[in-house]
Amino acid sequence: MSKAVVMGAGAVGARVARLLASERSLDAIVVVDNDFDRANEVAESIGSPVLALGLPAWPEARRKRFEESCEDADVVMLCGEEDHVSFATIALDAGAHVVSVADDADVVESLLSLQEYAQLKDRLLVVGAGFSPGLTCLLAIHAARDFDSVDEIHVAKTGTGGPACARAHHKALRSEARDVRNGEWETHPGGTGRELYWFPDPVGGLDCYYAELSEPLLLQQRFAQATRITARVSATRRDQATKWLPMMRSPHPEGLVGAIRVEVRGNIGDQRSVTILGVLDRPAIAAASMAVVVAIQILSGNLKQRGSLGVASLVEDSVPYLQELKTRGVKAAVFDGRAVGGHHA
Amino acid sequence: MGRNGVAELPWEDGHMLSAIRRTIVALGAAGLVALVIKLQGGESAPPLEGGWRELEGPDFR
Repeated sequence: MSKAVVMGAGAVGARVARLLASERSLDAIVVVDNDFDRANEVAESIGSPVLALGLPAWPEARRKRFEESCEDADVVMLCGEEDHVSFATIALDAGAHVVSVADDADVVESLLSLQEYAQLKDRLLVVGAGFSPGLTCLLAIHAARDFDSVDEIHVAKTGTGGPACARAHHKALRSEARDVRNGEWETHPGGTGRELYWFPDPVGGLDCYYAELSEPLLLQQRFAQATRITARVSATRRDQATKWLPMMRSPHPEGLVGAIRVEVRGNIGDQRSVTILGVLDRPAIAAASMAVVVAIQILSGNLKQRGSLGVASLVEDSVPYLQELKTRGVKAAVFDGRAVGGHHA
Repeated sequence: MGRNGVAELPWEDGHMLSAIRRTIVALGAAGLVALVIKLQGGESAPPLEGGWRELEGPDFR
């Protein structure tokens, strides 16, 4: 009997449950959420084999209930806004592999620190298997395939998934950003370093700024020789002006259209070259698809690594992942062309 | 009261005239600076050659 647990019944979690249910290879899928009604709504809308479970507010009772839900689970998908580190530890203790779609840089760093613990448990903890990070790292691997050496990777994203993602985006813009310059870690105030980037149509050109994103950390593990790794998010003047304030309006429950763009620079032979890949999609849909594609690889036994790893460190060949994503409607694009006048394309 | 016991109108006050002149000079200077920045600034969006296309068969080889 194969079983999956989906923690979080929000914009990403609900879609992860639906995509896993369509796989037909799982005998049980348990959707866990603080709000039982929400989890039940998701479970009832999908039907068998999805079940709903609510978590009580009391910490000890929560832990116990989640432990019980993880019993006999093959994989646990962490898609909520909850403490991913605690829930990942419980899931690893229960003997399950874990896929986290966390996008907060602090959470990603904490999850990566579970490397030895996951190895000790002989399980795989995949960190940042969503839209950004996740799909961004996959695009970087794919773009880097043709290069003999990669010097620079520049990641940019626009748009957010559900409310949790929107809150992480808001926090990222006002927090300190870390990136790699000349092979060394550097910090920048969030919301600085404006750069005009062109995303896949119809999003087009947007001003993007440094933010506390986890891509530099995750990509540096794979591309240790790269001298420059940056990550930026798009922001409007209103985003910039209100980044220090609490969010003024409730985020869109499902998120709107978003895009990612990954630029890889390096050498092919003795020639300098640039490859730019991107994806246009609703972030919640793309994140759920990415997480499920990784989970399927785990469940089918294709991922033999153990420990806590990001997608950039985990994936050897990007092609099966991108093809699988394409069949699910998440289509990557390449920018064939160049910007005239030395601007970024 | 002004000279010869005649009341002085507010705009005849030397301080007020000075403030108005300063305001005009400041606005003029700001406009001049804005004009220089506008003229020196490049186009907001660079002209592009090419475009985005979906990854297909050969891209997945």
